[in-house]
Amino acid sequence: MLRVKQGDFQAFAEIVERYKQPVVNLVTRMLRDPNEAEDIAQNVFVQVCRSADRYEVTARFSTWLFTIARNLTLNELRRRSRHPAESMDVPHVAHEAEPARQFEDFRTSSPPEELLRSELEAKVEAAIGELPENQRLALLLCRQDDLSYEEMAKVLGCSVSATKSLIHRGRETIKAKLKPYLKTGQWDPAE
Amino acid sequence: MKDDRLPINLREKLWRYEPTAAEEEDFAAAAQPPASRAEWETEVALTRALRGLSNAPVSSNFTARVLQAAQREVARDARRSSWWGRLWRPYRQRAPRVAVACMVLALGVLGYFHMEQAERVRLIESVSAVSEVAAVPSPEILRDFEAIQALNRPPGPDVELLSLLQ
Repeated sequence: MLRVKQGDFQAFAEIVERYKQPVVNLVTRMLRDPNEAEDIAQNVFVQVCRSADRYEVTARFSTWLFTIARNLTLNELRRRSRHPAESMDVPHVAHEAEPARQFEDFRTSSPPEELLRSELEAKVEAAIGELPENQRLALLLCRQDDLSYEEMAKVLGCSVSATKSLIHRGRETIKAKLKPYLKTGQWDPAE
Repeated sequence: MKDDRLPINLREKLWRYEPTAAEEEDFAAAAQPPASRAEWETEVALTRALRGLSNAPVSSNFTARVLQAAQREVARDARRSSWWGRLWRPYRQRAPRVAVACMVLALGVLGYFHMEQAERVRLIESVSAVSEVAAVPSPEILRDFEAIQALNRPPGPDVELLSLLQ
């Protein structure tokens, strides 16, 4: 990040490569919209670049990065609540000139075990998506190995105990919804 | 009544990470009550499920697009920090508000002058109407009014002459 502060774009590219997946994961699950999520994730990194001169070396970079991601994501969610979402079937005007993003559909040629796993994963995703925003964000940040509970609290803008409370409530809600799958303690019944 | 639930610190640890094989063995060896055992297994299963979620898809040219956008923004910021940008910067944000305020002020002044002009016109019209009414002859010309009126009267028949002619 020090190199980025000095205008080193190669260093910035390395940061993007390293953190793009976690940021996209977080934003996608918060917005539940893969197309918009990439745009927001890009804006997160652009904001990082623009704000590089304000970054303090004493702070953990990941904390700062996820705080920016949180702010932009919540801004987008607020904007959506004020303006209903457009149909996903209609191409967005700004993206008409761009080639459509294509992603492989793993379901069409996968063995039954994979299909079962996909289905269970979809249930977990749905359960996460139904959580209140703050619990969802807390739960998703909990997946980041390089964030301690104190750093998660900084990103969320609340105390450590409040952060743990959010995580606990989110997990209890998901456990209640996925009880049949978790009853045996085995995620995949085929195992 | 003894709390059979997992200790809080152990639960919070399970939220983040799946236990290692050694930790599993230690837990099993500790002969935990059934409620704790069940909670342990549920927490581990859920953590495993959450950490096992697939990554969201990311475009192959994501980094390239970010770099392009970032370079554009940095160039824009550099323009703003040039001498002209620095000169203009204090006013840039206020400029639209100042423009609107000037427009409102200008409209107000124009409106005021228009109103004053209309008032002046109305005053002129009313004064001219009054001045027309005020244009009456002076009483001086009425001094010989009876004499003039007498001249205009046609002379009556000469009765004396008529009687003589008869």
